[in-house]
Amino acid sequence: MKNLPQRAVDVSVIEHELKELWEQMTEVSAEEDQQAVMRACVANLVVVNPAGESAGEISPMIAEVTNQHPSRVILLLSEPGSSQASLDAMVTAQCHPSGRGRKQICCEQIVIQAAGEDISRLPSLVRTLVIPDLPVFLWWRDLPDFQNELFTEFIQSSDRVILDSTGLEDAEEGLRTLASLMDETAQTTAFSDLTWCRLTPWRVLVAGFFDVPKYRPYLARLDRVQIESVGGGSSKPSIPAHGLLLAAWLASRLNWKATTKPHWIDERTCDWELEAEDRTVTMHIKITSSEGAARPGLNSLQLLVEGEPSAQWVASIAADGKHLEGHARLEGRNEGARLIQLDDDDEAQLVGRELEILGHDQVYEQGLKWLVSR
Amino acid sequence: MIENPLREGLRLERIPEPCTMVIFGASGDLTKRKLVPALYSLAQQSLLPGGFSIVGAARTPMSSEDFRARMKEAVHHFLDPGQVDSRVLENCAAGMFYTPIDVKDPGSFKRLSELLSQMDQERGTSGNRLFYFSTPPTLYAPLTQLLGSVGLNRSSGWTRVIIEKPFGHDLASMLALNKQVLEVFREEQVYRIDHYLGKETVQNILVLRFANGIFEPLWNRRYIDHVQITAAESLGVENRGGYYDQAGVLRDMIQNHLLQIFTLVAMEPPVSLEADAVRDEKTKVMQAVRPIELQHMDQFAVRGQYAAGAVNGQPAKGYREEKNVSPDSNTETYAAIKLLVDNWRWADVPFYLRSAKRLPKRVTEVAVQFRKAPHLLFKDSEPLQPNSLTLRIQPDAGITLRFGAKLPGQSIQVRTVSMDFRYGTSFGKKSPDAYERLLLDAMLGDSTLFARGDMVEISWRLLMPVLDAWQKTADHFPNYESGSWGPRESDEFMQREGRRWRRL
Repeated sequence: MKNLPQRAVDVSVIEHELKELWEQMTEVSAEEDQQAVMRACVANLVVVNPAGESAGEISPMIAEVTNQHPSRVILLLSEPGSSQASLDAMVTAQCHPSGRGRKQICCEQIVIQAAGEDISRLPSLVRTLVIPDLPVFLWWRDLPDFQNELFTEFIQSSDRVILDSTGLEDAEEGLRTLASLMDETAQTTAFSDLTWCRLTPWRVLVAGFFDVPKYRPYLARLDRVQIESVGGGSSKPSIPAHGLLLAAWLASRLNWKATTKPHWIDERTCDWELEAEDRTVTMHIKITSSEGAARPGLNSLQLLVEGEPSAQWVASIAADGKHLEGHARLEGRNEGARLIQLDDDDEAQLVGRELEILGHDQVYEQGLKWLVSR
Repeated sequence: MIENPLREGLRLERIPEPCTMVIFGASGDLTKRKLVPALYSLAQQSLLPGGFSIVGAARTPMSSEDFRARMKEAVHHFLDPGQVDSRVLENCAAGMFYTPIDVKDPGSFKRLSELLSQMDQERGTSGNRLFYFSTPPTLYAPLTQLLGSVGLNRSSGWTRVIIEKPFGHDLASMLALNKQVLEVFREEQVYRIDHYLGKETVQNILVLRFANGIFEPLWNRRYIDHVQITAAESLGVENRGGYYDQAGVLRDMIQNHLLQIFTLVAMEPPVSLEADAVRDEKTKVMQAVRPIELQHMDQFAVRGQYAAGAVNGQPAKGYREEKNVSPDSNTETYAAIKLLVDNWRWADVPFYLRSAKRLPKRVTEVAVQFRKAPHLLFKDSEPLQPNSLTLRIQPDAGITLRFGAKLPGQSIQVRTVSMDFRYGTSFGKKSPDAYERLLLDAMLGDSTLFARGDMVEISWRLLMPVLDAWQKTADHFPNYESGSWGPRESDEFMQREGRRWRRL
């Protein structure tokens, strides 16, 4: 990656400055190494950093994302506590060598710093700066604050909102609010939740178990699910977002209904009785401490048929923290192991994957609806 | 069987049913170089179903353990180190088995059948089987017959067979092989592989034509002057001299790869993307190609053979000096043919197909050259080049549109400029290897990107007059220097048409 010098500009002349920047880059590039500069852009990526956080941490992540998806990046930094209102912008370009090293692929980045009352001007400013006719992705890096006017205003002008429900104090309430927000904006905006994305390898492994035809009938006999989830730290007993989303996924796909709330056995363990067509399914959720955990998030998942013939499918994080292991047991007999390589849970990688899709994630939305419908 | 409700919405929609892939010729180069690395890569992306198994079958005596060790080594050797996760590879290797097989020993096929039944039970593959013929073509017929003799042409699940190219050496041998294969398997079970069709950019021809409203209205004789389809290679025959000297470039490249690309460029819009809908249209356009007549051969085809020269600054020996090549070989290493399509869309629009070895660089592309503007307003300008749309297949896959633009200044000076789209710059994601796509398609029962028997037959029928004529007459070979753009006769061939080859 190569960062060209930033140019501090007045917001009203950003587009003009961008043009000058490209001309300057072409000249610099020609003088330095005769490499051609190619401007590429497949989307607008609006990145909203948590209040008070500088561009330092996010810059390498943006570089990683734009390497995969060349985009016009509009990075918003804010200082809400400031008594003085201000709005400043800078334009710069991020360049990556192309695969064959002959050309540089560059995309432009506009950094806008807003303070005090001027923060409220950000949504309208962003609307003028996006490249027309290209999708707008909003990467909301702070915890979603559904009461925040800025958040709701940005959603209205975005094709896809990428947020992360991990860390929500009350995940159940937060996900319910998100579900109703998604419902309201369903015509214009799709949502990605990075917590849900982190569950993808789990879902792939578990779904893979039931690709084997002889296991499939057992789906209608499952009577116990055990989820071990790394979490804790909240003021009252609560299931972390990843645990809730996994439970909602299983329940919505397998048509289980929750007629009661989770019953807390102690501060870290609960049982949740769900109604299947002809039986009760107990979902046993245990929250373990993050201390010593191989990875944050889920630790293990077991699907059990306790009646005869018995069956068990287990997915768990390997000791190296880099793989997800799975195995099946039928009537006490081991039936072969499966293994999935886990990515580094790198936020930029996850965001990159979400930039590949535009439409609604129906299964995720059905999971959230299941949570709301209880 | 009920569907797997957990499979929906995983963003990995294309997962086949649990199955076993049996590779005949498992000790060969293709298995190590392409097939097993592609299967490993699919496993790493979690695109293979639970219970997926590989059975290697070849004459070489070997245990399953030895086979696993060889395949693991091959994956490490042929994939980038960063691509290989040793634990995933171990897990993948646990599903690999080996059984020695010999076409002279029918008992070895019975043992294969027993092994497959056992795997259906133990690994839940439910009788779903994919046989891959990665053997010399002479074994295709006996393998087919032996599979049929032990009942492996059908099962309680699905049974499919992938047959590598070349499918026949000429029309007669193709028809004979096809008959033998179809005595044992139904056409819908047969997947004739052409790895070119697995390339993303080849598939993108369909997307470019049928997902964009702006191109299709221009895609006809009113606006297009001619089309050039080129597959240039800088390499010589390397270690394939023995095979190549019997084949030549017309059989090796044009009969399959280039004609397949031609059909994608020239066919009518299919009614759907169903395999037979696409393949029907491809076959129809092949049927509309005017037969090449012997007495007009020089107006339709030109050939060449490379002499010593230099490629990329490195000395290169002549074809006749290559290993396992006859010193007085008459085999062509350069071929160009003109196809005329007798239908309403393409009447009088020639399609020029050329392929050769030892050209200055490796390029595969389709260049659609549009007609000149009917009236030149800008008389003071340099003569304008006509517009062209180029689909670059390899390397640097992408699309280039060439058009005229005004040079900045007081007077009107028009200059030709190019507008480039490159996959590598627009999508950071690496395209999957062609074999990954094709193996997955075959497991899913999607034969869209595989050649159907009638299409292969028509392609041989079209080229037979050229092959016969070239076999009967010797040319003044060698007639082009390694590292040049081909023989002078080829340039003259185009000049007679009032056109010229694109400099690539």
